[in-house]
Amino acid sequence: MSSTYSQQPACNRLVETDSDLVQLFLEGNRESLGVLVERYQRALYFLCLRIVQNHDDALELVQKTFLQVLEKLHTLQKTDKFKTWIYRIAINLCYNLLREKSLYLRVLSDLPVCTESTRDDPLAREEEELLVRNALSQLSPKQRISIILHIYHNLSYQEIGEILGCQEATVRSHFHLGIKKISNQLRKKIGSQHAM
Amino acid sequence: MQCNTVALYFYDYLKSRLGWFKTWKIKKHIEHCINCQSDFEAFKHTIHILESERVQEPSPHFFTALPQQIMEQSKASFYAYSSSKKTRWWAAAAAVLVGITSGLVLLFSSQHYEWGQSVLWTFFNRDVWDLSSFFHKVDENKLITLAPAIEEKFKVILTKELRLTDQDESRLFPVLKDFSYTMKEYCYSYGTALAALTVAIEKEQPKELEQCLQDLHQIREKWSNSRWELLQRVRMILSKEQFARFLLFSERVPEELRNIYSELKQSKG
Ligand SMILES: [Zn+2]
Repeated sequence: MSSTYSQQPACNRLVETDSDLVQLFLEGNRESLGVLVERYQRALYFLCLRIVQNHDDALELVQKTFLQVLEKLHTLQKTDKFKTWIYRIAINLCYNLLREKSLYLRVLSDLPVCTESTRDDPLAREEEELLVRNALSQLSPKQRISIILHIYHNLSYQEIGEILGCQEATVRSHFHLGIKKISNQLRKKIGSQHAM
Repeated sequence: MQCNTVALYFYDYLKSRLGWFKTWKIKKHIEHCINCQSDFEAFKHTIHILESERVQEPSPHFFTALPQQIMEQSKASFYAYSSSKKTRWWAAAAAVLVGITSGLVLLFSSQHYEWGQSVLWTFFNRDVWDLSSFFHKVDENKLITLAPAIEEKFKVILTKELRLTDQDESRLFPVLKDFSYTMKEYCYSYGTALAALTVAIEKEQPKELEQCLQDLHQIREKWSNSRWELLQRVRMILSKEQFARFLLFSERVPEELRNIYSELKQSKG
């Protein structure tokens, strides 16, 4: 891939930690910001997409996140916490948007639920996916974020705790309760279909 | 192990992230507990669905273009940001001094006189205006180049005025620097709110005006809280006499800054 900031040797870009890159940027090296963007853009896109569930919004949120990073990077005191810091920015922006759009308390009944399957069939796979996605969107923000970050972004409970501002044990419990709620929704749905 | 505790480790167990002992305990529990067996099956199923969820990929162009776009954006604001971290703390420190003074004058004066709310804000605003007028009258680019020198001079003067020992310095300056981040945000939001207020007055928008006034009030309140926190920290560092000098000095901060600036501007062309 050729972009203007790739004059730097490729190996450097790999070994440099986030903290090094932040320091470099604050010292005047703008390329380092490009490397940070490259490093996080995909993860942030999927994070935003999973929260706001809209492709265009997700793209815009990723841009906004980096613009905020640009604006506030000089206030970051612990540069080794860049990762949790940038995730927090993105998550806050996502929830601001959801609040703006009043999608924050979206109810399941508003969403189209597939009813293709016949009474003898187990839930069709697509239907299950839709149901799980809807159930996920109904969880409390902390439960939902814990699940998204732990499953899709491989963040540890401790890192998630830093983002959400709570203890590791609390994150574990958010994660577990969230999954349990989704499981219960699934069970209920399967139960009601069998009863039909 | 209790069922509730076991359930908290389902995910780690599923992903084989637990030590052998915990793994064994959970395995045993699940084998013998019908409730956990069914819960774990449901849990596994849910995780499986979550993990296999497909999401829409953006166009590859987006990921190629974004780093470049953000870097372009950073060009415009780069000088302001890099300098704000490294060199502008003295400005914030100056504002802090002013803030501290207003706080203290109020504290002491309230024991002797009955200062009303209006006096408080008049006093307060005068300081803010003094500083903002200082910043507006200076050439931004010049300020950036001169900033490290200004910072040094400002430190020297402050050290002399307060008769700071090396130890005092090493304790006081980091505190001021630390606070400068809060201060910078305050200056920025205050400036923005004032600008909005001007627009609301000019365009005669009563609703917006009300909002602006509320914003300003909130900003002041927040600032006032952080200022008091800082005040306590500084008071722990300085002696009574130093503290008194600190107050006197802070009265002339904008003036001092202006002098340093013009002095350096002349000497460096
Ligand atoms: Zn059990």
